[in-house]
Amino acid sequence: MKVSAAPDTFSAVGLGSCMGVVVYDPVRKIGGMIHVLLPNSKDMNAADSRTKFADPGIFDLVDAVVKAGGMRKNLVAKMAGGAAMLNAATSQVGLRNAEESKRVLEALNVKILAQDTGGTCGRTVTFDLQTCTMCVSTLSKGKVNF
Amino acid sequence: MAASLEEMNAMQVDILKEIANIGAGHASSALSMMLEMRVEQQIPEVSLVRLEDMTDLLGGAERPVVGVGIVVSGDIAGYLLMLLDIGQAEKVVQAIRGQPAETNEYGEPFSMLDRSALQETLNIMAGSYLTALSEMTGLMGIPSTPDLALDMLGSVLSQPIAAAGESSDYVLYFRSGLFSSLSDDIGTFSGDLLLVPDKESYTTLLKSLGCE
Repeated sequence: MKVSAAPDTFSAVGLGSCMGVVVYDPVRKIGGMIHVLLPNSKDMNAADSRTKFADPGIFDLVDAVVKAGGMRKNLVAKMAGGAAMLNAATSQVGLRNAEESKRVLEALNVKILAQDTGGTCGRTVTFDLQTCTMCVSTLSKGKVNF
Repeated sequence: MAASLEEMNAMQVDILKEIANIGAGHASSALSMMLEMRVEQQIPEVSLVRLEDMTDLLGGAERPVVGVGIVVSGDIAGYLLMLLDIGQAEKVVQAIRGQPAETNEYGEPFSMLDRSALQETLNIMAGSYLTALSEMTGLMGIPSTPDLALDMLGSVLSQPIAAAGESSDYVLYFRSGLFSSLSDDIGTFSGDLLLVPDKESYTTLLKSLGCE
């Protein structure tokens, strides 16, 4: 998990079924990002990092952003990832990551301003706290900003 | 837990090397039959690599690769992946189809038949190495049909990594010259073969290698 303030940026390279979830305060320009690998923690071991799961990782992320000075009522989110890379019939982990991330954010009343999820392409994601823009690039389709 | 062959004991090393040896032998026969020419797979270097080190070891998350993957179920469950540089994949396609790789209907590299050729290559590798694993350890792994992705290494590995256990768990890594033609007009192909066991299978695999 990375938490910071403008003019810092976050990035996650080579997201496949993983999600890059950013929660931020657009007014104070303070925010954080986690790299979600799995939807929830029912398989969590003691040694596992909490933020590799949408639940409880996104809860932790919101707490951390508030602790860093973000105002709870201002918080919004942008996210990308959750693709089906290989053998999608057997593993829906990308889809489940996206759904669970959405569910947790909604439960926390953090509005998802924009997202780029699903599909079959890998994504590299950067988020700029100054402009509050997420940039998603893929090998086949170049860059998209939102 | 041993991280490299140097740290494992002699018996564990021998088992892994034997799996590599037998697997290469099976693969050579099967590939020769498919290509209708004599090819030989060099015995790959085999090692146990930590899951968390895998992406960097294989060239970094952004490296574009052709990833062909099979889901394995049974005693050993997880993913068996073949990773090739795009250039190496083009060579393999040329060798199998007797013509250069083409683009598909979306303008992306590798037409449907090219992808089929690559998937078939993995089918052969998977069958060979899973048979070898079974001969040495008694553990049966049953392969699915293969799937192919042309993308960043990090993205291709994300699903197997999600299915696997903790990042400190190990992956069986066969680093190989995949195969070379004995008549020398095709040359040598290199790629990587990884067996990424899922959470439950990880301990099964290690126990069978005599590791605790």
